[in-house]
Amino acid sequence: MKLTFPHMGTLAIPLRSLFEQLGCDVVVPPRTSKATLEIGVKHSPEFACLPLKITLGNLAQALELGADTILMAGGVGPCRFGFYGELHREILKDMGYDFRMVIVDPPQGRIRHIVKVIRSFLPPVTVRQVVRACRLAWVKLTCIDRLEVLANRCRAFETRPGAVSTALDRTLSDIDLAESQEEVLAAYDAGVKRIERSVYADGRPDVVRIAVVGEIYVVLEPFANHSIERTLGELGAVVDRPLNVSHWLKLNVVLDLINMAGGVNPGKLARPYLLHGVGGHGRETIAHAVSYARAGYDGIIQVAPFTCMPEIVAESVLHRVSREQGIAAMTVVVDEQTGEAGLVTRLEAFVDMLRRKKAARSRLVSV
Amino acid sequence: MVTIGMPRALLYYDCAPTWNNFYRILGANVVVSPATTKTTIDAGVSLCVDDACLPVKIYFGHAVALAPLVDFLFVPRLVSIERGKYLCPKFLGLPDMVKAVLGERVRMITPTVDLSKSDRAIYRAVLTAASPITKNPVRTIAAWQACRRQESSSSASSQPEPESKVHVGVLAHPYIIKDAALSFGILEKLNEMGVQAILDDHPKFDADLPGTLQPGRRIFWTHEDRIYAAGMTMASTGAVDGIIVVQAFGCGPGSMIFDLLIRKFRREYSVPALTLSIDEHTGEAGIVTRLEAFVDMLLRTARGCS
Repeated sequence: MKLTFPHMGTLAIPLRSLFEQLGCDVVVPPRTSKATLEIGVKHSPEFACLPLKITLGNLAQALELGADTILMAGGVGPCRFGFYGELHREILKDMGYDFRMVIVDPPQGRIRHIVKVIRSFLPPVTVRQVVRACRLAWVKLTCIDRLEVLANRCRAFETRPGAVSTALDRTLSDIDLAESQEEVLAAYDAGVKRIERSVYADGRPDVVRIAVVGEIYVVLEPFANHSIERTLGELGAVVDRPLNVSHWLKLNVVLDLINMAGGVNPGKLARPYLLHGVGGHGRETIAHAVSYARAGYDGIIQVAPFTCMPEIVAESVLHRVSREQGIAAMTVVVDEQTGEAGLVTRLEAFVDMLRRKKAARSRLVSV
Repeated sequence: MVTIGMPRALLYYDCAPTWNNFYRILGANVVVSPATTKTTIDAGVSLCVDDACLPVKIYFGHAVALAPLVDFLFVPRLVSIERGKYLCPKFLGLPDMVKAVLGERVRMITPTVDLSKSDRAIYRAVLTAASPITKNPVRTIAAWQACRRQESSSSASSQPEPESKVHVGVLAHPYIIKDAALSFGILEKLNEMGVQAILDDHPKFDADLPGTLQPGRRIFWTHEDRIYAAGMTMASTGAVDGIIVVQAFGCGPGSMIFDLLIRKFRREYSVPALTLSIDEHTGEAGIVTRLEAFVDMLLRTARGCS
């Protein structure tokens, strides 16, 4: 059996580690590229959202490399993501592939059921092995998430363009290769030093602070968002993003296993703008926008795939948040037609606007 | 007397008779916005975000037309109208979307209807819905039950079906196909061409048809589950000669379900299918041409066979 799963940002690193430690043969799909997108766009429904198209391309490329079992997350609505697995299976079948598809639904408190689904494709393992594998994967995941947060904060101060991103990429591949927790932590420490070495210690005066919010897949996947964090960082913005994989897993897997996910509620912050969850990350987008506005950030960029239903609701409400909370907001909708140059121009204009606004405000204060 | 405004869009076509009746029993004056026109569409398109589908944009057009005429605008938050299933996320956020645009221009009644876990949740929604007229729960519940009773006695009647040579299944959301301006009167046009259109809400389509999905999984959207069941039944029983899918451009749940259906039609049943997608730029002539070509093809096949 050869297992595969679609990419989402750097998620493949901990996932590969997890399943290899559990004794599976893992085929990681080739890095998401133009070719991946082309396969996806050719075979997906026209109005499907971009993540469906890209992940379909990932899976097709992995099947070409010999994978025969696909692991996919499911869902219970109302976001379309819950239906991806079903549609992927039908499309890949029509493309002539022969494979097995395992769809893991959110646990909603049914621990036994999840264990049964996962055991259906795993080779026999001991509890000790499982604990070890989970711990290693978790350490990798949290280290990666922290490094990305650090890189996003540091890019604005880098000594030469691209230095921070290079340091980050190198550290990520070290973590990918690490086989024990000690090695991961050592790679992490080295990575932090490497990133710190590539920035000016005394900072620069004209930075603006921007938060990137929106739909989790397109926020996390640099291919889908045209490396928006990197572009913003290199334009001189300190970037923060509230969404990352370890947080998502904590909420949707760990807490959901004991049926507690409802307890973590973004609803309070989203009030009075959006009074009800709308699936996906719609309400989180609004809640995050409010909390960044209160934290004194200069701007918010919402990234969403074209036709994404929860983000359309959030987008409709976001301009009210922007008006009432006094924070600049911009929505970037991405699909297979999005051109990088057009996006970069908009980002440049946005950062320039924020910088000028900030300068004008500080002049007013000083006078 | 309190005047309540009902926008003639989206779920108006599913549940407006019940709510209208409910408010009339409570003694309110109900104003329904007039049928969709070019003006409604233009107003909606200019108010709503670009990425929304046309039916949602039209809702804004109806809402803004009603706003100056009424005391309250009735914009329910329809999360779920049957157990375990949801509506499109845009229905979940509709009151907030309308509020963000219309702001203080109009007061709104926004009861939350979430029957995903329990049918009794409707009573909370009913009490919220009645709150601007009466705070008396006994009177409210009595009015609700009275209108449910009237509804169950009236729904038994069905119209006789005219005989026709060619039957075409029309799969679409009710808020598209029942709005003649939005769907370019496709149903009427089919009728004029001598074709019998069969909608997915026809009672003979059992919504509990076991799908061909992975066992234990269901489609978790109410409309799409019904459309899927109807489409699969139409194709597998040979009740129709062809199927027309009418879809709003950018429809999220539809993008998945209609694609799945057309895949199955092609792979398993070889039933001809036509997909028409509609947005504010769609021209009537283009729709009519495609419709005529499709129907001509079906008529010719029918003649060739007989």
